[in-house]
Amino acid sequence: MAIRLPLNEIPVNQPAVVAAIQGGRELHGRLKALNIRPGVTITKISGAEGRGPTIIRNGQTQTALGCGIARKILVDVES
Amino acid sequence: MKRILLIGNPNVGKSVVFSRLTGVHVIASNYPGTTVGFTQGEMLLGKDTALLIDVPGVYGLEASCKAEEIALSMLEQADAVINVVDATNLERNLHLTLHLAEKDTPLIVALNMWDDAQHKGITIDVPKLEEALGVPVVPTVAVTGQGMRDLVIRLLDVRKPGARLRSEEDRWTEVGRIVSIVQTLQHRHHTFLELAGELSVVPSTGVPVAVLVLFVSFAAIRLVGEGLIRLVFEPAFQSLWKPVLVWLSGAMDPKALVHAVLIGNLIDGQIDFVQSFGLLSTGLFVAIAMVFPYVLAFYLVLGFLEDFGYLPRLAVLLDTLMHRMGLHGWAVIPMLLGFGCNVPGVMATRVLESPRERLIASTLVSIAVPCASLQAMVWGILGHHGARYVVGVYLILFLVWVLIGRLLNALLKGDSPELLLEIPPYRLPSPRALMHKLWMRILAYFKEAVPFVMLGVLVVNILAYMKAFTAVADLAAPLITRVFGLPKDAVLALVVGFLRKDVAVGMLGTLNLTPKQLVVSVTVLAMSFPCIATFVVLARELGVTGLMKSVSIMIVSSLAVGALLSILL
Repeated sequence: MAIRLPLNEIPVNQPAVVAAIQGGRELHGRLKALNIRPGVTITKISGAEGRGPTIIRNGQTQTALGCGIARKILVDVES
Repeated sequence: MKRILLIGNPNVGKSVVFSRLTGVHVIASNYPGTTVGFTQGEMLLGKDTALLIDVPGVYGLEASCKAEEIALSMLEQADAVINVVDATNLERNLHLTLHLAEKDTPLIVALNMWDDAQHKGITIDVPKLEEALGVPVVPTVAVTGQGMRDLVIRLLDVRKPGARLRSEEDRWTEVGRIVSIVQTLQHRHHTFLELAGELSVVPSTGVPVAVLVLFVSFAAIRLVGEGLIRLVFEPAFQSLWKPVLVWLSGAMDPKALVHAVLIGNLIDGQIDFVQSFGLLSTGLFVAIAMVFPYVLAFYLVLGFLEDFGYLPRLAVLLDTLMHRMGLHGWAVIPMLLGFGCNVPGVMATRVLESPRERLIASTLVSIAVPCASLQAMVWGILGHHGARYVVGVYLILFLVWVLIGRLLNALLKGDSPELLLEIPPYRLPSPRALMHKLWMRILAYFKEAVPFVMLGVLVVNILAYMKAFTAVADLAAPLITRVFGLPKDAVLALVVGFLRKDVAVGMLGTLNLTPKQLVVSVTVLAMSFPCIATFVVLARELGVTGLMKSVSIMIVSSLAVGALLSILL
């Protein structure tokens, strides 16, 4: 069964599907341009506990997301 | 003249394509956002010349940031667009391509990094891609020049693409459809570079790697810089240039103005390259034999780190630290560039989003990031008293950097934006591209920095000859002697620091200061007024109010730190 979590809380190396982005229009736009949008599968590569940035792989790209952004991206992972 | 735009995602090689097509040299690096503002140059298109404009990298055309607004407004006046696409990252790049195809401007796609794609096991069916997009597609490798001729030939007969308007969502669906038709991926193992890429970004392994990289870089800069000075430049000046100066000096009256300006003071009847302070003696020696070797070494190492793709990873690792100062990790770019010269450092603060961040970052660069010229002189003047004094200066500046950053973050209204950064793959830099970039930066040093060094020495000599400094020195003496514990002659150096900091440190070298006095004066010099070139750029980037704020912070903090140091040391 899939559970929904903020991106910064999921374990590394686990594929996850972006479910929702809790942010304003601007954040939506910036993330969408990087092809981070609902329905896309991403994999978290790294992310420290606490305030550090989260790094994800989507397609051929790696993207670093500040903690505040990672917290706003909700993803579905298979439990 | 026809106007042609180069548009593409950040870090796909637009600047390299630009310099290939125009012969105009621009700086390119392996990280997003190398081009801030835009560059234009002329290219040959058939028999005519056309204007080629290198637009900053954009992910979309939604006008959601400054770069996108600029790209959109330029698009309206363009006759054709070359869309540079990263072949190793087709899915993300094609979104912009589809968006461009909806506009009325004729479009051609340069499928760049074609060789990288092949190495990565990515095959793209070009004819099918052309058919799906309805525009010409030319595979290119901009760093080697492959495909550039084809690109220009096919650019001659581009037409309006005339794709129907789509919603954002439909565009992504269409991208998915096209990619599934034209691209095949060969499964293969991680390459060494990919593995290294991941190891250097995960904190547990990344932090030791970062420490190692910075240490090795610093050691390499010292080794190359010091080696060039000791083995090439100093011997050359002593054995080739000195005889010329001795002859010249002998032909002049040693008390004349010309002698004072060109040769300077004779030290025990001899010309001394460090202490004589003439235009042709110390002026040339500082610019070429003391500073230039370090500038060369610094840009050699920086260029390698840039093109290899290390800097975005450093930004990720430093993100948490930088947040405490109201910045995010990407602010490491202006800081690092500032170690070469504060001018490009301050200019690079444009990669940051808010005016608040830009004020903090450019103030920090001008206060606490010593440029290569300043560092070279500090090593030259203070180094022979012992490395610990030089290390001391770096440590003080680092503490000041952290402290002022945290203070500004606490005092200025607003909060720090979040990091959102694409991390490029590691790429082995092309030696040709590295040398090219090094050459451009060296030229810039000779064009923009060396004349100021000479001007600085000239002004110092004329004023000293007319004894004009004595009045200023007497006036500032109480401050300099009581607060900083320095002899009043040091005031001249602090004033000259506004023109050129390396020249100012050179003047300190003639005053027979104790190592501790040197540490105080060098630190105050580094922190106080920016040099005139940085001052001008600060004014341009921050506006007059921002400049005033920034300079006030510099003056207050350099007074405080100088006073504190003279008490503590």
